[in-house]
Amino acid sequence: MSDVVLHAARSDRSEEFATALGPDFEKQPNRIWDRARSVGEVEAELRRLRESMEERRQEVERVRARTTGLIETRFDDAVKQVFGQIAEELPTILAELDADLERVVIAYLRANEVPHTVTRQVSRKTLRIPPTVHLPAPLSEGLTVAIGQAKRLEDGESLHMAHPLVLAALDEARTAGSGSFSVRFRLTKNAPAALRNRSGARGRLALTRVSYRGFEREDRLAATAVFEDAEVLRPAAAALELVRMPCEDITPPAPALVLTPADLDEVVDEELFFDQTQATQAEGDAFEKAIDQLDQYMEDRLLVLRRAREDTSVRLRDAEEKRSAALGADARAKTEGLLRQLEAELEELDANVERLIARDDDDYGKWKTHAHKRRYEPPQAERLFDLEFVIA
Amino acid sequence: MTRQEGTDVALKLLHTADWHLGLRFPAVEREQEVRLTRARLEVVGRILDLADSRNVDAVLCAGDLFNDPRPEEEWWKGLLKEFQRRSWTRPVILLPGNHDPLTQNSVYAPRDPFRRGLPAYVYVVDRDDFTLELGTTAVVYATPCRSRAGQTGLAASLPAREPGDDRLRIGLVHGQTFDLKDHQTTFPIAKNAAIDRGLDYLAIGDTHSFREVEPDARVPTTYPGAPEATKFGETDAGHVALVFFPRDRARRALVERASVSVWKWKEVSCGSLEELRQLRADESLRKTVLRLTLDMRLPLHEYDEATRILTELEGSLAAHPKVGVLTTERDRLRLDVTDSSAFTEGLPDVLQSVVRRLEAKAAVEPEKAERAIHHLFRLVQEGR
Repeated sequence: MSDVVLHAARSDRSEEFATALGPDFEKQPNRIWDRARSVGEVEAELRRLRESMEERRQEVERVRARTTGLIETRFDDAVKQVFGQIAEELPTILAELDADLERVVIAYLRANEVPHTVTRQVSRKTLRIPPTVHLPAPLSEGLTVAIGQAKRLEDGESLHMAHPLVLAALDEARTAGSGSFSVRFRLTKNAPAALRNRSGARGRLALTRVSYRGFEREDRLAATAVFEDAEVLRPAAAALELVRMPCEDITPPAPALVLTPADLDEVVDEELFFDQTQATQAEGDAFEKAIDQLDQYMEDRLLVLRRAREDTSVRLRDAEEKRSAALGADARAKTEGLLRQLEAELEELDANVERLIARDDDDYGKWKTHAHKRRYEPPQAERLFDLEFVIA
Repeated sequence: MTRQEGTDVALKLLHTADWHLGLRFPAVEREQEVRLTRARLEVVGRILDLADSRNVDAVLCAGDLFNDPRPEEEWWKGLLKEFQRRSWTRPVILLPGNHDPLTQNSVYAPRDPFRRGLPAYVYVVDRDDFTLELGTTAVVYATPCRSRAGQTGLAASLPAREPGDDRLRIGLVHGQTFDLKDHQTTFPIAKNAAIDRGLDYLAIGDTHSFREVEPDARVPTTYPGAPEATKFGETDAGHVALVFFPRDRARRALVERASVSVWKWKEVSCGSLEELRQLRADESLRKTVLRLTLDMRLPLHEYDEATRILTELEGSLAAHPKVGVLTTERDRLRLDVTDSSAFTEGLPDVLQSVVRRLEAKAAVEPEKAERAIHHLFRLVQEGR
């Protein structure tokens, strides 16, 4: 992986080393030749150049080796780990998705009194629906769908999120399932203790969908249940469990609940306010990473400018020495011109360095604003329904 | 949605203080100082964005927002820009603290360009009886600092609750509570001031660490601390307080700390090369202000490695620094010169002789001799 990222080494690394040293490298021998006044000086300058090149070569090699090592040890491992985790978790996640699809569709069929049969095979279930007037066209013509593994499927089609039957079920759930209801929950055997302990209790429950649209798109379901004695059902996961329990519609309980919808609203407000910290923790990490990358980009640009500045400083010193050694007015005028040009270059580089240090840069400003917008995008909360409930 | 729009939901506030915009850091290099001073302005952007994200009803800024009553243009203009790029109706209340007191020529004075440039949703506490109603159900009372030090208890001067006033009452002052050890108290705040004045929350500023003065008190009195630390040792800096007031008055306001800082401040002492290696491996150092103290005596090869690690931490023209802002105490990083001449094996006699003489000189002028031996070692290594 690191070879792909860093570009695989072909032979000796002279080409990449020369690139790392920069364009000024090729000009230096000429400069030595121009400046030296004896063979001894040429030899001494070349020796110095060789030593400084060796130092820079070692630095380049060291940075390269370190980068390669880092990528190999961290990136390769990280990628393998992610794929391994996906391979491990995928079957369970798909089975859960199939179970959810089945639950949604079967509830829809039962609610609309649609006759249907479910037969179980090794790796899937087959749902058969005869022609019926209780379903919209074209579903009304009857259909057979498979829930689970679709491999070597011969009878019917696979049930998926975009299947017309699922879409019809979701549509119905959204329209018929929103608003306010009164229900009696019947706890199943696997109901959590927090619910079993409240058998016979009455209260109000709200289900809210909170949509985060930051670095990651995430929808969270928040169930908030408050009992008549004003106690909030904890942990919050127990309220979601309550929503999943079988229930039946009832007439509003008598006597009327002391707890008002406004009381419930307040608890929902509070829960959502404090849940936001936890919900956006990952967003915070992604934001810091984005800002860090942005800073790194600016630091990279600064490093390039500083190297250019260093080169220009060396050239300026050379030019100053040349001016001192120049014989005659013409030669001095020529070097004076070069000096002025180099001084102007240096001044411009300094100004650019200062500008980047102060982060006075349009690109930086634009991307920083973008990162802030994503990180701090307020979530959208949508109340899906609220209930007056009794736990049987 | 803001309280001004007349909603009847619980009140939510963001409480911050001690931005110290314009604070200088002379102990670090100029470029690093620019990073730290700039971060103080950046964090204000984060705070205001957080207020938006959490849909709070108001933002309370409890003093010392500037490090000086007459900050340099860069800072007040930068803050103004942050306010001006938001088209809010949510009120933001700026309280002058003891570092930026309300004086005739301070940045908060009516004719000051900063003050004149503030958008309508930003309020400056410029009266001792400052009052701002948040809709019909809540009210903020505040009193500014008018000097750098004082013995007036500003919280005690807030109006007491009138009979029949059932609004949420929030106090906003800058000062010190009595319970800070070894502190000379200026603008003292009594522990029970919030209850005495009939407040539901007392928002204060001055201390740079997040702190609820009496965590179990019926009415919270909170220091949110500085959103960016100002020096080492401010362990709980880097936060703001998010405050939720339930409509049920029997319940106490709920306070949550939210992290906003850009920089973490850390002091590390390394007594061995291994500790230094571990430090180098810490990936979080890029956003850390690190004070590193070295206390170790190492043989030549290890000493050389230690100096190379330090170069990596500091950065060079070849590579970025690993540490965001670094100050190093290296006086006690010493070279153990015993047997240091081993590296001269195979070198000309004259070099071997030089090293032997430097070893002897180490008894008299250790630092110079150690430096010279190390330079020689480097030259020889590079030559090989």
